[in-house]
Amino acid sequence: MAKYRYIGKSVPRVDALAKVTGKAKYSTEEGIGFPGMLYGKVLYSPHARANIIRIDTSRAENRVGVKAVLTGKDVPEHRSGIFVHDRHILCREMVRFVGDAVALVLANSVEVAEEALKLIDVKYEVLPAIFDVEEAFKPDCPVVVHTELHHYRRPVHPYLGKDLPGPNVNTHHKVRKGDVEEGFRQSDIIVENRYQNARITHCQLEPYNCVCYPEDDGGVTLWTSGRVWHNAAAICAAFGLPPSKVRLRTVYVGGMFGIVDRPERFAVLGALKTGRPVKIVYTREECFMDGLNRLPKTIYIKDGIKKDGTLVAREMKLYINVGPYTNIAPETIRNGSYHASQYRISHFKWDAYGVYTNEIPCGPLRGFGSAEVLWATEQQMDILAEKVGMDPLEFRMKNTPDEGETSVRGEVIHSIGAKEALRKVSDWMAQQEPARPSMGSVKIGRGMALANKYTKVDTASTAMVKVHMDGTLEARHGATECGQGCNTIFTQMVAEEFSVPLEKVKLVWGDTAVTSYDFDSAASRSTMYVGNALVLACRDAKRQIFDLAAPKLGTTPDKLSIEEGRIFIKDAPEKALRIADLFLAALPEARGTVKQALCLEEGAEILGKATFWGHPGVEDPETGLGERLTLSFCYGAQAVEVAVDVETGWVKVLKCASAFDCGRPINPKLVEGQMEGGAVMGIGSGLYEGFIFSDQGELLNPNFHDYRVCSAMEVPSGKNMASFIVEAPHREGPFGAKGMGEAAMNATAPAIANAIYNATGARLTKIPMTPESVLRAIQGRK
Amino acid sequence: MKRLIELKVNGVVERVYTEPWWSLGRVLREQLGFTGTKISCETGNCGACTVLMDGRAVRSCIYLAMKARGKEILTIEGLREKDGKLHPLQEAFIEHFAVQCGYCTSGMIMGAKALLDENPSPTEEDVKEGLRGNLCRCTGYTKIIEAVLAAGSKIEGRG
Repeated sequence: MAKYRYIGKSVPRVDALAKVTGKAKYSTEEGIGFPGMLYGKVLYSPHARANIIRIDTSRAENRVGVKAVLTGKDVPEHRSGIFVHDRHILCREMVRFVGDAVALVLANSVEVAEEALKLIDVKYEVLPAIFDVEEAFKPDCPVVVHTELHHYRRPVHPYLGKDLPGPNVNTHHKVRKGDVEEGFRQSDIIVENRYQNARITHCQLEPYNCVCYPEDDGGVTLWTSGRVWHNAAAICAAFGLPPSKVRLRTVYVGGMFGIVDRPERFAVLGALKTGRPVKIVYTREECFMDGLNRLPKTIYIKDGIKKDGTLVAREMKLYINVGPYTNIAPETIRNGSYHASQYRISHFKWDAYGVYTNEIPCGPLRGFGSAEVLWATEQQMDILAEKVGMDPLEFRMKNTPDEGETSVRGEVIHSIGAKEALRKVSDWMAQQEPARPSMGSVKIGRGMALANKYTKVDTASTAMVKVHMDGTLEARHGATECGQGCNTIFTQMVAEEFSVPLEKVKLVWGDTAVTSYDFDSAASRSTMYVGNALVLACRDAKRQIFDLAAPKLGTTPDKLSIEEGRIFIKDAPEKALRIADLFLAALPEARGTVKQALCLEEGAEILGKATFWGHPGVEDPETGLGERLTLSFCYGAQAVEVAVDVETGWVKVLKCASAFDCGRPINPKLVEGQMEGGAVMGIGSGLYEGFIFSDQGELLNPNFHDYRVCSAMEVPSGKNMASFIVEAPHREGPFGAKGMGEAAMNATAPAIANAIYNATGARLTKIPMTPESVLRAIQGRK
Repeated sequence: MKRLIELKVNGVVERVYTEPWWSLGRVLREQLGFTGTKISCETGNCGACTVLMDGRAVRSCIYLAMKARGKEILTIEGLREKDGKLHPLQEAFIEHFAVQCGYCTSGMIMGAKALLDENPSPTEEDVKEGLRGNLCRCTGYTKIIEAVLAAGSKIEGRG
């Protein structure tokens, strides 16, 4: 194995100094005190479903300090969306959830804008609404959320819009492998269950915000707290603007965990209409309500196994409550299937339905459809194991596939560290002394789960590397540094390619006018896609360097190498040039101020460029099978020890071990950080977090006191929190690395449920596992 | 109507015209340029806005700027020594990878400083209890706790 200077080393984060001194800039800092800036505030619908009869904005418009009040008549007529074009920027004739956007006020201060909201009179005709996903699914459901659904455009994955069994069903994803009925006939034991999960939301610390400046060519420039390329595409589609007229920029982002693109549209609307810069900062309540939370799913699962523990058949039906607008749901729904089939299963049938209701819209949240499915399947694994008298670890090991096998979906499995991950967490837990509670009502239990998360194959990234005269390497990429540490590992990769100190690498990122295309910082893809693009761009830059240096050194490019900014002949290293020697100013003919020029004699600059794309295969629309549906999978396992108070239902996670397979760690400490952070988000999703709605569809807990995010008190730390890196190098990853930021959250909730069962014999099928639900399950058992 | 107030921030007296209902956090960020302090929930629940006032941790998002007159306010920008040397907490956060997105970091470090000033050799449980009002969504807290314990040892001279 090659010895690396930086790869595999935990070098300090390149942005840590800026962050600990308060110097790091986020888009919330942008536009403060900017002359002429307007502040935008949105008026939201108080009804879950209603026709808008009349909006009177005159009193609001007359309020001193208000520049404009915009409503549905001011927005583009066409609907837009990511997969299904089903949403207007502001509602035009109808509101579809409590929180649907009805009007936008633009004023010279936040306070004036907030006051003006109260001066807008809206007359609604309230209509019956639908919230229950299985009711909404029915072919005869009396409430139809989108009567024009069959007219909506579906430019991406149109096959997901076929075979829709009801007027509110917007997505149907199918997987068919083998024959499940035959599989169940061959099975000795069958276990059927229903699982559900509540909506949770990202709760990233930086509230969604953006600033939009109108440009004089009719275009816009935005500073955004989200992803530049994804949001730019959404704005182009929503406003019919060409990409060349939409510029998005970002610096640091205060947490992401999924797509954020709500305030951007309002800011662009306001800036285009008023010709003034517009700043919108969501309140924490708005972040909850309009933040595009995780899809709630009702999952019916039927598993068949043989007495010897072989998993034979699995059938799943999912009813997914996407709310009234699909956003990213069709893909999230489709991709959940990769996780239900992570084991070796001969017969697999999956039908996942995305259903419109008048709850609130969903979006992607860390895991992108995987965690909710694993919540169901990883509890099933424990239940099945118990039925055949096998240990949960043994049962999973028996059914986990190996490198080179064909997966349920038809892909040849490569780079799978699942078994090692299972063994690592299991061994660690076995070595820990079980907790000894001081109260008789507290029971201790242990549980585990196996998880995975794919990286999308149908995307592309690009990168550029400019070599400056002084040897500085300017690496440009369009991804988002939202805390995961991508900038640090990119610095390591570029420094490795050129063999220079880390300080010689400078990063420029997140600006659609400067940094070339990147699909998105999502799907745990930046390590592989942007990493590869950067490595390829470095090699392209080195080719240019060697082409320039070879004639000057009297040799051919293939004989050259470069280290510490010195280009030398491999076989005669004393024959060398510095990078500056390749530039115009170094020529003997350079006179006058040409000697200060910072450019090449020809071709302007040394700029390496590269694209890395996934070469996606085809997914059969009827069977969901294909040979290349994903780029890679991160596999991982978690084992937890919990304390359950059987008198109060209160659960606390005492110990947690995570082991995840990231191919090869570029920076081990950053990988640990993902595992620890993911575990804690997983604990929150399993025990404490969940949206609560009134029976009129109003969100009742849109704040941090009623929606409980884990604090330091709720989580294991120090010697009770263990993280292990598993290495299963991926042939397509840069230095063998894969992404793993999402997988780290996927095993926790089912591991906790399995541990609660181990402690009390009570099985919980809904998350969050609140004290009330734990108590009910324990008492129901008696 | 705006009023002229004096605030002593990081040892320097600042004079600013501000509305009586503006929070200290907003004045620090939008009028005095101390954008290191972050606003995240505006209800005093998450701790991202934590600054020190006469040595005590306060939530600047719900603390009125007018009430802060006459107090010694310390923000993240004031933590470094005059010669630029980092505070042991800042060094420890870097060394122990206790920073990811960075949005909770200012408030977390200020909260940790208040904790260590009061309890120079905290246990792991003391640190968790002391930081329970500072939310972090990225790190899972393990490395933050490690960093605070390490900084405590360093300050105590046992490092």
